Amino acid sequence: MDDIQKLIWNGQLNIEITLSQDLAIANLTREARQINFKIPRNAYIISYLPFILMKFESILKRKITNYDDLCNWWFSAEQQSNSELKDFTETPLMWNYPIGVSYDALSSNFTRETINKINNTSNIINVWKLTLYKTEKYPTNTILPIYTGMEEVRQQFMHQWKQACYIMHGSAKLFMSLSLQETTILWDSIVENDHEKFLKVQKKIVPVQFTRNIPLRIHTGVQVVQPVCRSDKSLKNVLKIEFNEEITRVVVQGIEISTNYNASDLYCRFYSFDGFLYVSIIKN
Amino acid sequence: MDHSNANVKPEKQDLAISDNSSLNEKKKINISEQLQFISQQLDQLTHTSTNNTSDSSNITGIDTTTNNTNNNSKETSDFNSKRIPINISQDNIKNNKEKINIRFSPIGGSIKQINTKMIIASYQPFSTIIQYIKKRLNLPHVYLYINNSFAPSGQQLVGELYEQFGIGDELCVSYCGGVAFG
Repeated sequence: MDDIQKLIWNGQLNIEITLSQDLAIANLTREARQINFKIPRNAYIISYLPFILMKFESILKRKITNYDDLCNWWFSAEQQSNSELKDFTETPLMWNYPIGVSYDALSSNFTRETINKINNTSNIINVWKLTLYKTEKYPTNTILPIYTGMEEVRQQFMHQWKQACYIMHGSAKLFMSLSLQETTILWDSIVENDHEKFLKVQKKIVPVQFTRNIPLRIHTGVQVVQPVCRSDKSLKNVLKIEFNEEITRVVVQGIEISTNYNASDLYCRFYSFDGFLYVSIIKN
Repeated sequence: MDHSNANVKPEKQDLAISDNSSLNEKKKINISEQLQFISQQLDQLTHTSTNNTSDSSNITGIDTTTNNTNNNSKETSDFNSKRIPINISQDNIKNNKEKINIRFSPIGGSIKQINTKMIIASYQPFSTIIQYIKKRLNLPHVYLYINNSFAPSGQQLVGELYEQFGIGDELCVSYCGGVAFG
């Protein structure tokens, strides 16, 4: 089980970020406004913003004085709206979900047609195309606003764990009783992408045997559902109750899995760094 | 209507057999009987359908004026019986417009007190409550916690939060002007 967790933790995504035209100096081609890099699946994209801005420093119209100011910066992802016509629309990316989860939910690679193609061919490099914007207001109500900086991201992460802990144990006491040092280690493990550190703290919160509910979130494209999921139920049953139909093809941590597995078994192997198990339904 | 037609057919056969004697007179009599029979059948059918509707409405407490047919009332009663014990899907929440009771409590004595209760549609995101509290307290930022434990993200639906963290028939939300449960 630990091996699977480690493989999941080390999973990475290829990202191509394009700086929005109005933020860059004039007369630059699209290629000149692009950077490519790898990002861990278990990370918040917004926490990489200072690094991204440093890369774009030379082409930015307005010089940035404070790289930790994350206010009003947001990303959008290309989403295929029509597979036949190859139409793409841009969807604002919710920073408060792990980037790997957003990729599974929004990327056009996880439609039934493309997933079959990818499974049958080797030597394919998937690159997810994102665009970086800064506007006076956030585009929709779906993006959580950031007023301060990285501290807000850290708080969001901690409250996600508290919520997950509440669902698993019926109260958040176990998480709230962690020492300051332990919570610092937990956050550092995300910033430094250190699995050993993460396991040290995580073992105190995640039970060996589940008796109550599983922290589960289901992505259907942009929409996110957080149903009550009893630990003894199979994923198939949960999906059937929630959507009133048989759903057989889902993706967890970038891997297509069977829905017949027990929710608690899936949680132990595939849960994300914020304490939730994310399931994305494969689109038609 | 299909049911009544099935009962009419044998009478037509009787009519055909009796044609050998005084055909015209019997035809008239049979046709009038036939019409009477059909009208009786129709009366019976309408009577049973209205009875069924009123029965189901008594059980589920639904206004009969909104559910005229038998099928509709059955569907609603099934939905209601399912709705109570299990979780409500997002679509169900939207269709049903269920209301959730919110109980507010201030953290610390320095913050202004507002109405302790509020009723909100379950499909609303939690950010609606945040906006409401901000407005009532006239503060630029507020910190809201569920069950004095954690702060949910503004995107989470109130209905889903109630299903998972509701106590009794309400969701307990505490508010503060600063960070209380970091």
